[in-house]
Amino acid sequence: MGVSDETALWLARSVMPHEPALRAWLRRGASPADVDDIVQETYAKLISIENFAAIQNVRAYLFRTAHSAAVDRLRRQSVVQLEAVADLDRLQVASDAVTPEDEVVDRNELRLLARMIERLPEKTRRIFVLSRVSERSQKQIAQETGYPESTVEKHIAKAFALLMAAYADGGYDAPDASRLRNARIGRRANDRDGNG
Amino acid sequence: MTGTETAEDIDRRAAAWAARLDRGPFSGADQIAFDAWVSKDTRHLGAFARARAVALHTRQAAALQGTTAVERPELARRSLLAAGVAVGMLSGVGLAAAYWRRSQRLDTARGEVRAETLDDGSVVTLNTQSRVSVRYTRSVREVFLMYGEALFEVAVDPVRPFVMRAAGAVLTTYDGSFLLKRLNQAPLEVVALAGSLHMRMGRDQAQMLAANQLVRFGGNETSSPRPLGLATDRILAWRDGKVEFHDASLERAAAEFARFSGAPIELADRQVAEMKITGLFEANDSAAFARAAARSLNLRAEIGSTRILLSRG
Repeated sequence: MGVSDETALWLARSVMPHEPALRAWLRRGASPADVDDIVQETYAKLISIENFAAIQNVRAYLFRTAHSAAVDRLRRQSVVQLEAVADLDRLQVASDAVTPEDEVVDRNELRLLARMIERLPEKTRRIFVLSRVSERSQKQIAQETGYPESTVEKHIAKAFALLMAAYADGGYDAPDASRLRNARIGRRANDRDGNG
Repeated sequence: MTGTETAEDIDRRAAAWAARLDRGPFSGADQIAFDAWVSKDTRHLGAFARARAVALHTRQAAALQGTTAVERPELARRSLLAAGVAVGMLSGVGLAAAYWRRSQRLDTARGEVRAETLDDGSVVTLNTQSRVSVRYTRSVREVFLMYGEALFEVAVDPVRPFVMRAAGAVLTTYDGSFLLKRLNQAPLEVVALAGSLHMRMGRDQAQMLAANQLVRFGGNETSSPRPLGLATDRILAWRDGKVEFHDASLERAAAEFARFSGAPIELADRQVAEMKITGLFEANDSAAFARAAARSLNLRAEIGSTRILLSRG
């Protein structure tokens, strides 16, 4: 089981720009911890699509897929809360209201990507710049810097994880993605302690 | 129990797998471990898809190269330091400068239509299977149509010309709306829908194209500009995912549908190929077109998922 490069690029270009809106929408009907799970399950569903180029309105399709992932998730739970069902019904209405006019135009993609890279922690950022900007292989980076290859790989992984979080919270259009992310983590911690 | 694993734990693990794949193809042992991990929980595969998306998408950062010594291999030993400098340069003004200096590429897949607003407010709309690269500097706005079809709606800038390049032609304007079409084999077609263009082809061929005129460049020849004779909305039907034919041969219609994502249309013989059709159709639905053509021209349509055949009787 894997993910083809073509699919991954489609996700990056056409789907991920809608992720902040999707998460905001899901938060109206699900707890923040559930939102993350639903998003992961949504991507698992998306990559099984064979002819994604034929999808006319990616945003509406994404919302519908997420809705069905949320329903699946609810079905798996042994005790279904009535409130959750009502919340999902509300999401359905919102999903139908999504029109192509809501499409995000990621006109400043490259500039925002550079900005996200700039925010990485220093050592991770240096290694990542060599990897992405200078297009060096991990092996070349290890040779040039003297770090073991395993360290290089570890920092590349760290950069991916941080960027995944940044994209989730609007890396494309949020002025300060890291701040938002922190707020989200904080909120989730509260949820666990309290009513989550 | 996977239920205790948080989404963030999963993201971190997915990022580690993506970083592993970034190093090189999975070994047999990696593959077994990866498959085992993925099969444990559907969220794992979804998170991995996101991690791969980030891994591939961030490769675009290579377009930021050229700002400093970071890309020069002879500085290898100092490259960490240089990378630090590069990042410094990329921030603030340096970043904007790097962005402007590099070109930006816009692509569409088969069946896709996409509009992009450029930084000066001009809008580029790409028809199916097209590629445009955009390069703006302080003195010139430059776009290059590599292949396909694109509509350029140029925002007025009296001091910075908008220059369109395609198939050796250099087309300069300051504002207006222009359609460029460069399909396989066919000559470059330029339509001025609004505004005028100065056209240069080679060293000494230069002429003007006025609004509502069309010109074709093929090989070393340039046709004279001629009046358009067609309504703008008919020419731009593709922006709404449609194709429009007015008394066009089925052969031409089939060629047009072949650019989009529906099953290809085959015509049984010459006589069928020369039959004429008029109408507005969904560009990505060649089957609906074939059914309509069969009905109006009394033909038989065999519609399969990989090909469509139109024949007599």
